[in-house]
Amino acid sequence: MVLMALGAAIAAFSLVSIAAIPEAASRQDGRFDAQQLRNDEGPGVFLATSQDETINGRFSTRIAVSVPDTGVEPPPWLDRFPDPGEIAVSPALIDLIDDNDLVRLRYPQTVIQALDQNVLIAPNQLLAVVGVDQADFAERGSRTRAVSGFGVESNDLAGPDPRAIRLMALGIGVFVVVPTIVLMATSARLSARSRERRLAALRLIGITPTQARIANSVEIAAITLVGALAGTIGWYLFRPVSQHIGIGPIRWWAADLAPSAGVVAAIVAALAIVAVVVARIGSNPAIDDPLAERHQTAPKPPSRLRLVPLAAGLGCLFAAMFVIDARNNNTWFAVFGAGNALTVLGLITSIPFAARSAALILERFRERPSAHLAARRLQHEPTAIARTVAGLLLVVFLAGFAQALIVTLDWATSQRTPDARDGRTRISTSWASFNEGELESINGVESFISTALIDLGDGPSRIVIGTCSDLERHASQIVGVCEPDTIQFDPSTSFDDKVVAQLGPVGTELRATIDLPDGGSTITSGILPPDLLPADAVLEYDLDLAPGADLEAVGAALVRAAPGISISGIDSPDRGRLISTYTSLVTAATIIAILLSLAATLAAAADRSLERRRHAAHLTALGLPPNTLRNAETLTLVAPLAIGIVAAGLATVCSALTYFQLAESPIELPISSFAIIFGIGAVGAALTAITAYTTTSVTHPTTALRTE
Amino acid sequence: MLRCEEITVTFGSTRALDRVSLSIGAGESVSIMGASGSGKSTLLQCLAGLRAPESGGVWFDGQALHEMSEKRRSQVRLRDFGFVFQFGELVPELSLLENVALPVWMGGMSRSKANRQASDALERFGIADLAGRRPSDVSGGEQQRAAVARALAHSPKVVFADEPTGALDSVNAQTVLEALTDQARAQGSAVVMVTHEARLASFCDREIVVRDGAVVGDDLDERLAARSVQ
Amino acid sequence: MSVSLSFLGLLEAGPQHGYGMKSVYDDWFATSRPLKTGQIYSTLGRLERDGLVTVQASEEGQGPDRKMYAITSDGVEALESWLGTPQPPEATSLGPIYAKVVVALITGRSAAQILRDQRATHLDRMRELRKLRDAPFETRLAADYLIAHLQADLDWIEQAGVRATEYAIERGEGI
Repeated sequence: MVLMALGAAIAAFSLVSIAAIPEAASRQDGRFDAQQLRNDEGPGVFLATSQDETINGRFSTRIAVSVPDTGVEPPPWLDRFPDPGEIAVSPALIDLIDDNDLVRLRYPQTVIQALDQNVLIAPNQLLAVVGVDQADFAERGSRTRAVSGFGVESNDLAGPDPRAIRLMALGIGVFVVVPTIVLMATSARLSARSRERRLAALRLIGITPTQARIANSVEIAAITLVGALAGTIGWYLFRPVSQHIGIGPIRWWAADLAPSAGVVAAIVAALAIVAVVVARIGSNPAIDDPLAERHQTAPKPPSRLRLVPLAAGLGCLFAAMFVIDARNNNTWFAVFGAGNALTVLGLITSIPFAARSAALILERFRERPSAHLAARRLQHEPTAIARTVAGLLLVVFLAGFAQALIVTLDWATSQRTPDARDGRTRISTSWASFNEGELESINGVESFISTALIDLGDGPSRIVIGTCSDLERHASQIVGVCEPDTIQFDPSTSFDDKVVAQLGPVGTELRATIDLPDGGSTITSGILPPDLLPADAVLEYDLDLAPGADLEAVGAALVRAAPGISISGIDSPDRGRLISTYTSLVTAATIIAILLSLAATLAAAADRSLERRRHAAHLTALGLPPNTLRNAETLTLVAPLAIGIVAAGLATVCSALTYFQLAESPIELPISSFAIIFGIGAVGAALTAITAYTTTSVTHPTTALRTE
Repeated sequence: MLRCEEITVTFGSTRALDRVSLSIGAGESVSIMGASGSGKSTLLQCLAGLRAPESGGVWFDGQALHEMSEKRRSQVRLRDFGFVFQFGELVPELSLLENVALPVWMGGMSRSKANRQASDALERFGIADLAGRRPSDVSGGEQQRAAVARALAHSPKVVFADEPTGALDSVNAQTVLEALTDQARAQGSAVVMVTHEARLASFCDREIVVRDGAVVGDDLDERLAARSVQ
Repeated sequence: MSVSLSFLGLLEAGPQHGYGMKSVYDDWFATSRPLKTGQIYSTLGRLERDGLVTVQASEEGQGPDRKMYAITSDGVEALESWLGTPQPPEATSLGPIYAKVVVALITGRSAAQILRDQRATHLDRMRELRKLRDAPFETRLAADYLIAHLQADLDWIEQAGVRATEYAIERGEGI
């Protein structure tokens, strides 16, 4: 009984958490949007830049503003715009500034305001609004904008993909809820024996089957309600604490977790209903025939209808894989979701058939007593055995699904993270005017190339500033021949003759490809010797770091040399960070699901052995070797489990392949990950076998033989 | 053939058996009578090698059961003993034939031979036509007859029966006990039967009575007897 | 009483000799109490005196064995009346076992001892009766009847033990 309430509490806790996620996510989206600079049509109101950078390995946003005195309204979350030498900063960054010398070097300004949850996405966000002289902006070149204010409306920028987060919530919901239901069903069965006895007694004193059924349902519903309410209350109590704990690097404002009261009530009610339904599906012989407790009635063979959900689920998955087009298509998601749900349900309802098949296989070994006994047991009670092993099959399927999710997330992340080639890392900096001797002297910097954006008459083009040897060192591909001390251009560039005349002697046409830190590449429009560089050009540097260079140290040295510097390549961009957060969540949910399902399976296996204790005791009294009995019980569970795990594994591979459709380019099935899935299944089966073996306790049959 | 000497068994602070000695010859049938809690089931368990006494010993065919490992005792039970329990305790997923054949087969015979022997046993007890049925498909009396068949199918030296007819009506009880004792006699198997009904004791050659862990002449109030002697 | 009426039943089908009737009677009843020759002829004599049977023929000079007896119409009536009337249950009297136990309780002797010995005797008798299971139908019918009554006695012996203990406690004779 306690187990059932506990299971309900866990389920309620998890479900309420999941229900809170979309709203929290959209609130975070809103605040993210509020931090963005807005650039309406027409002349701007003030100058600002927003740059993402790394501080101490953590993601940080720095917004530099230069506001003219003409009464510009600050955004609601800012008391006033900081003047040059002042910053409004988030508390987490204040802590870093206090603790870390390098960070203090970066932000030597005076703190005028600590930002709070009106604007911060999460309590641990690093955000600074820095007041800057207008003159400083001139150095910053292209990224400086004249903006009209803060806050954008749409959320299709670098913010989190709203569809993705809802899919996450759904996925995590399935991971936690389904195993929890299995746990609740198992604990319902574990407490069933005492309940059955009570029900049998009630029936014998004259209560009708309907009344007994109602009594049973009311009892189960009451226990579940109590558990669910306890779980919900626990959640609300835990909420403020969660702000300080988080999950790994992920933090949130407690107030963001605000599921609507209606949803919470629906969750609690739904759990009670599910518990009653689940308990009702499991047969309740004490209600129908109270005297049948002693004499087991012969079970009916499993109906063919049980195979339908699995067939339907696989059908949906095949449709999603081959028939319906993926992405930006609600139909695809609906079919895919339905396919998975039906497959999960179908795996569970089809287990009795796995049991029957296992029986047929074992019958071939019927000269061996344990195989013979196991085969007979599987034929006799396939449904009861199915209930025992269901949890483990779910683990395999869900773990596979999780792996698919992780693989697609990894793939998405890999599209944007730094690409280390030949053991080297590339980083780039902007808005710096370095003394090049300074760059060379930084430990770890092997070489660098500087580029500039120069207006050739048709808008700015990226030009390499350097010598031919610089180009040859950094370019991955050169078309044409580099002539020293001349300007050379990509033939596709359109340029103004006047510009060319100003810049200097022109050579033959040249085109070079330079790889960028974020994995892309750029084709430079040409090469310009340093002494021909126009005075107002702003340089950017792409640095090649030596293998094993300390990224943090290089970053720190760069910051020391030029405090206003922005560095990209040392951390993954915003989207990658969020994706890795999702990956952590999915992994955490998978682990929870595995533990819950495994607990449910092992508990059910042990309970089965307990039920059969009397039989085992009497057979031992007859002289049957205990190992025969143990082997028989182990085979009874492991044989259908093996078949079921293979089926679940194949189903999950189907599901994964279908899910990979979401990717823009084909993703290979990660064999090692799926080997791990089967490995998890095998470990689960082994643990179940060990449980069955050891709990078939036959050493003291006399206690079970007492007739008095 | 089977005897126990001065065996004592204690449960917690209660003495279930107090220096009990008993001897059973080959082919002899003995009923152990007594009220609930008298220790008669414990005595049967000790004689059958299911429970090792704390002191004293049990000997079967000269071998000391109480000194054997559980594994050895298990083998003795399988080959030389047969058991009939109050509620049959047939394996629900096996047919009656398979149930009866089980101890024969496990004792080392091939399956087909064991099945034949079991079939003969079912025939002797008049339930050969039920051979393919499962225990839940036959009546209580038929189940118990199958249990008796199982106990005798491998021609054991001793059959232990613990309240074998406790769950049956009087007509069935009579039939089952007759079948048990007749067949045991025909095969030369000894019978040790625990019962709390004196009327069933007549099926065995002799009876002993157990009260409060000791073998007494009767189970009536010893105090009366003691008082009347004065 | 039932002996004579049984004889009437034997004669209803047709006249019989004395020795013939003894043989049949013994088949059905001898398990319990074999009939002595003298008893047969005194019974037949009484029946004749009461007009329920007559002597049909007799061979000269031989003993009563040679007489042929036949039932009269009065005899048939008496038989019908007896068969048609169920036996009153109270007719089963409190037998000697009961009397012994009562006397033991009154005189302060060991009722337990009496009951114990009686049970052993009963069980021995039951064992003997059980051996008759392969006997002819007539014998088996009788054996079943006797066994059932012995079982009833045994049941009472068990119960009496309990009652005797209660009796002793009530009278403050427990230890």
